[in-house]
Amino acid sequence: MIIPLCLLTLYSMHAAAASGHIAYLSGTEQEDLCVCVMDVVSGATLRVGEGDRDGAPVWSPDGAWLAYPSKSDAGMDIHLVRPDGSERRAVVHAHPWNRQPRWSPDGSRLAYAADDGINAVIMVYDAVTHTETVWGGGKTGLMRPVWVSGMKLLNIVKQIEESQHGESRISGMFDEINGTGAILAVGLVANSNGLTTDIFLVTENGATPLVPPELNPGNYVDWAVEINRKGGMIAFESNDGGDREIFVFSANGQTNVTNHREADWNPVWSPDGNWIAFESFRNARRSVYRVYPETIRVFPVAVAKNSDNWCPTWSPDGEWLAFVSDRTGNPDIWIAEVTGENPRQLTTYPGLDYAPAWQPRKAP
Amino acid sequence: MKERRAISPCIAAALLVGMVCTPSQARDQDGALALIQTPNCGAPALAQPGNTFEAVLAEQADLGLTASTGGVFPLTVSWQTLPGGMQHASCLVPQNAPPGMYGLTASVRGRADVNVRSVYVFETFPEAYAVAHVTDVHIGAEDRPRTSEAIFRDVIKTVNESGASIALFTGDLTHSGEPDQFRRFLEILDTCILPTFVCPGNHDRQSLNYEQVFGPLVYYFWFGEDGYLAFDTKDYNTADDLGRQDADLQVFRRAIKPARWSIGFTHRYEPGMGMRSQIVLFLDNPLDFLVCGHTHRSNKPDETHVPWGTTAMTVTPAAIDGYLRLIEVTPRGIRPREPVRAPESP
Repeated sequence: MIIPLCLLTLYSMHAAAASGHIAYLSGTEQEDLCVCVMDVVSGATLRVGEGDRDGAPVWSPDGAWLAYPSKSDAGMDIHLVRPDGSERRAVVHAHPWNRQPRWSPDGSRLAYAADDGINAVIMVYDAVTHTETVWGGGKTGLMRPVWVSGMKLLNIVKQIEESQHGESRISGMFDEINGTGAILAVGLVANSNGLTTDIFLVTENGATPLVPPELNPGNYVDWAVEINRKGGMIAFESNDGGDREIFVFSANGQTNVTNHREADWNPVWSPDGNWIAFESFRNARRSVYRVYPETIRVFPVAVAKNSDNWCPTWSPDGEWLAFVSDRTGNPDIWIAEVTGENPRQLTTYPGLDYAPAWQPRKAP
Repeated sequence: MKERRAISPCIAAALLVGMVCTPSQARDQDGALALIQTPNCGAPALAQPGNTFEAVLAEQADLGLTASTGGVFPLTVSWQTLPGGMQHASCLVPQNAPPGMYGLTASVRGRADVNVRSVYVFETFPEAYAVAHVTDVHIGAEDRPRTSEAIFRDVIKTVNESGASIALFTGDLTHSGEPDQFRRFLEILDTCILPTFVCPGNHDRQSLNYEQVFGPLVYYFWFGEDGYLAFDTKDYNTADDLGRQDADLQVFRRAIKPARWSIGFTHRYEPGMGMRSQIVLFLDNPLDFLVCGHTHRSNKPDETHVPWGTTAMTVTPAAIDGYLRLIEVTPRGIRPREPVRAPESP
């Protein structure tokens, strides 16, 4: 009985087998990139997108829908589709260019940046009423929206403001936020050199820097804001002395959780909200790592000296990561346990495969 | 201290005559790269005797430098296999290789290849020099009174007579990215006596034709103490989604960070080009200067810098309209001259 017990012990050290579905982009070039959905176990793949310059797919919180940008006559539209390819439709937009869709926590709305690049506004599409509304009071220069889940984060900001200034700027927005929700977005800020970016709190009727400038000194360029599932922490990247670092803002203040002289970027929270996967150049080329923010310990996941690994996405159980790797010469989708063990190539298509997104959980 | 100078125009002209007379074995018949991928006439290697340059080949081969005069200089090479199977060669330039323009030759198992105008040996690099900027050549366009080839020949003739040390071609080399248009572009490009560096434009990106003719979309090189970075702005609206060239931009930008001047060249600058690229190139470690085209006009008074502030920018009118621009690079700064129009040949 000794041998089977040893085997059992070894087996238990590894993650449960990877399962579920991964949406990703596949094509021969940018022009024909198409959203596909792969069954991780069987490898069966279904093309569900337009196949006409599709952009990165994003799952609804219940895993029942995908949203992605795709080419239109005037620019790019946000498209919706079921993971089996059914009910595909384009959102009717007021602006020609629409990108970076993000689902609201309840899956009823989509926020996205609309119009051209850095002069974009944040739009919100209601999937129930099929209407589109401009948010932020129409403020321009807002990009990359993410929905705020609950009031935990905003209460932290409010308390910090009150402790330092005796009053809070954002508390006056709470009634509106309780009614229609809130978004964090990256927004343009003018400085003496030209433009830089900051994190903005966006409601339907207004937008304001999340942290007042006097509490956020320096001239940092923020990007890639992500809120953890627990709702009380945000991860974002900013430059510190020239290179990118990932910071976490929580009730404990702001912490640099990557702190390396080479760039660290693109934070992605684990489903339980305890870990952050990110990309780093600390091993020369772009590689995938994970960090536990409370201890700032960094662990390698997919690291190679001669190839790139990027765009990590967590499995719903938090035990696997999918990512893009060009270790075979062209970008393919790979998965590995969060420890980096058992890497497996999912796509073997000789063309391009990008932007994996693991389905959060099976649709009801 | 030795005098710092670039390749002499006289030597270059002599080499050019030799090159034109050399039967070209380079590339496949449609102009696509064959055994040797890089360097090539759109991304040549610049090296000094006793230093190395990098090459990428489909397979390991015997390599040599072929001068237009017929002299051959075998290369000492160390090989490394790249992901996907391509072979990376670090090539040592022989001490006795005189300054000038060379073809890189490769031979293996009866298969031979040569990329003409792909290696330039410099004794020293000048501290002050001029860059010729040519953009929007649009070979194959049929909406002008003269053929696009005739116009391009006049532009190259002006470049050859300009005294510039290198030439940058910032995209829309062809009108619709057809292989035959690339072949016609190459035919005229190879009459240029300067090292010519190209990057793709939106009109060039039909299928993978550009990559098959010129190889990588993103690369960097050193000219003396100055670092140059070529990048692609085709992906634009989904660039952040794909993340394709982000790592190269980050690594290459860091590589040329010690440069006296860092100069980017691309087809077009638009604020919607993807934030990751802009963060890398214009915010975290801002390039000193950006050279681009696309608009078929000079930059307006409010377009002297990218909106992020630090990086100066110049936009040159289209070569299909006969224009080019010289940019002076000196220890004191980078100064674009006014665009000039190439005189029409009779």
